[in-house]
Amino acid sequence: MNKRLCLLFSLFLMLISVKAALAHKVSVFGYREGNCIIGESYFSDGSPCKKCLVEIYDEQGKKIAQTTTDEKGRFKVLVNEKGSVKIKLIAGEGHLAEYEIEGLKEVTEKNQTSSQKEISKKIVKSKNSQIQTSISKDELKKIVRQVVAEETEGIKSMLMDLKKDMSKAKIHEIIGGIGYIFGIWGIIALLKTRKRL
Amino acid sequence: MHISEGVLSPPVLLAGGILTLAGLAIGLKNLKNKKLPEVAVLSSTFFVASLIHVPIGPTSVHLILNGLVGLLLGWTSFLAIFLGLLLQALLFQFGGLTTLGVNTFDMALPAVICWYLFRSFEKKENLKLSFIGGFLAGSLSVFLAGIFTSLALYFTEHNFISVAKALLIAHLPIAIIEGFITAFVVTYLLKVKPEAIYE
Repeated sequence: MNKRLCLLFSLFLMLISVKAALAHKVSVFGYREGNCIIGESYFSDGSPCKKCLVEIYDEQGKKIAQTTTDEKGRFKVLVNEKGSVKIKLIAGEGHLAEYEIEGLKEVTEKNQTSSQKEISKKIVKSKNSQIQTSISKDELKKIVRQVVAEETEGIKSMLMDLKKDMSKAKIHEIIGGIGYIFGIWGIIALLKTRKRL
Repeated sequence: MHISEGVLSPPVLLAGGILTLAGLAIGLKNLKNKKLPEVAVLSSTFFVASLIHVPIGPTSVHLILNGLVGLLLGWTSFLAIFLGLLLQALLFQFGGLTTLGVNTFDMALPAVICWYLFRSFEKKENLKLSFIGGFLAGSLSVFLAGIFTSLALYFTEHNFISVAKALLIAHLPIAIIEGFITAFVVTYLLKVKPEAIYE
């Protein structure tokens, strides 16, 4: 019995030591940028899902867009939907991942509080009186958006890496799982031997 | 070859669940006290094997080792594989709880089939034959698992041949590797502890 146990133990210790943090699950992650949805997909070992189908659904579950991932598992798709959307990644052979992006909050005139209105009026007034700017509101929005996008590029990729790391199997989870298995079989063994007595 | 949640339709999930329950019942009936430690070790071997990843082919492919489990445990492999898959689903989100039945059946039935086919090959007196039997059991069980998985997917994806082809091609290297692993383990056990296989 001892020899057999030793052999099997060494077998799975060998297995752990080869490549512990690798596994088989597919994940997708995405964010909104203007009218586009940009995202990345990967297997849980961090390798990208190449040339996989990506479908975008709206709140009612209607398909509104479709694209495929590139060699690095990334995708970019034009979507005019302002509400929340669901990304569905189909990696084939029974692998599927979903990710939801919340809808944009449209700032309407009604939602603005009176103080905000006053401030904006003041700004408009001061603008009119002091600087004769030729930039319209829309253009300003565009510029701000562009600058913010550039500034947050690093944070976005950091978040992406963090997401990837989180979906990897951790060594303590593996050891914990083995512990659970032995525990469960221990209980079964206990129950079985009790029955005999 | 873990099928994710939300891929299969409810009837397929239900059928998989019922078949797995039947397998588990037979497994429990055949479970002997003496075998318990071995079943526990093989459950964890199966649990860990899926984390060993072989970077060949378009999708990521991992070891399964259901042939080894089957050859050593017979019907009890349903219990070992079910427990391994359950913990994989809970800890790593491989597959999922709803697809647990289908996934267990896809992996465990090939194990049992290989046990019926190749257990007579395993004789202490003829290690060469045992090696061949181990190799065949290890690789055939992977292929059968691929075929069963594509069968389960057929009901939703409707292109059995192409899915099966893709799965089998992707798992060809794994089948060879597992064949050798199973053959070496089995012949070694026959030398040092033959009752692990005979009983």
